[in-house]
Amino acid sequence: MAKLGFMLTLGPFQFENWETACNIAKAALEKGHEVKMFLYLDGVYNPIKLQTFPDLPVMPKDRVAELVAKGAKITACGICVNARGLEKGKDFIPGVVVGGLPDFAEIVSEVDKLITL
Amino acid sequence: MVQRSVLITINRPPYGSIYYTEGLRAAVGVTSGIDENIVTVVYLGDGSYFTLKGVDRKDTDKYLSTLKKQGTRLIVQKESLQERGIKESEIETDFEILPTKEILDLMQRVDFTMDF
Amino acid sequence: MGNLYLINKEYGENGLKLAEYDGEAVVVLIQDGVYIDPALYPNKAKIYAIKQDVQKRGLNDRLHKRVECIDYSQLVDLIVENKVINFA
Repeated sequence: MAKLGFMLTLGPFQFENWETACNIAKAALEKGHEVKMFLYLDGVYNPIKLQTFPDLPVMPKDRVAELVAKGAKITACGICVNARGLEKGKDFIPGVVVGGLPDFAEIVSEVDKLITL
Repeated sequence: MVQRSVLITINRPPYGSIYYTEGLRAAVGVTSGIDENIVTVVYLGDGSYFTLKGVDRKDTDKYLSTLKKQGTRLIVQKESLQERGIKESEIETDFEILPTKEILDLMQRVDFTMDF
Repeated sequence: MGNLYLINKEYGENGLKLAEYDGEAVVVLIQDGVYIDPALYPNKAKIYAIKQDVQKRGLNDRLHKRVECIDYSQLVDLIVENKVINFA
């Protein structure tokens, strides 16, 4: 089994990257691979707890929660979190950790494949 | 955990989006772990506009100087310059000019790629 | 292990130009990457596209004959078998 690393730099609602990332990660987890995802820049908006948007059948945060439930490790960039006024991760769904680029460097050292979206 | 080599491409021009600087912050970040991963930064397409001499680099200087100290290669694609009518003399001397084939060779040798 | 070029539209062309020189290139078109002009497809590369992204854009019948549709499970297999060259 392989370890897949992801860096997601775009937020929900405006671009499709979060959806592609969730779809690849979900398929990978279902095949028994490991997933480690680093949320960078607007990527940190994806697992916000209080998302609501009538036009989307499933909220991005619920897709991320599904990945967490299947064993994915999700880390959000702390500088990006602070820049956006998110309160040290209190705004996130459970299972999303706030870290920094050294955590991403660690992901790079650990994984077999790296996907950036 | 092992040391990894990463080739980072920057594809968007400065300043319309934040990627020209956040890509460099990520490049520094990738090297920051205990394994001291190695990065190479390659400017492709419109990203090549960042390598022009006149570009204001106030917000990227700190990343560029950290990368230079670490011996990181900063590369711009020769064909991207040609397609845009940019002369090699217009490029800041910190950037190496390499043809696509040689960039592909580098890509073959690294463990991972990232794009900004 | 070959190279898997993950291509979206914004600057996917940069990736396709590299893939043109790459004897073992596998291209996967994602998102608006499915709109890229087939004239830009690398000559020798195998070209895939994500089925969902093609279908929801109504492009099923307009897809170039070189393009084969795959699902996410197949994409994961390709990711595991190749080095990912990210352009999305």
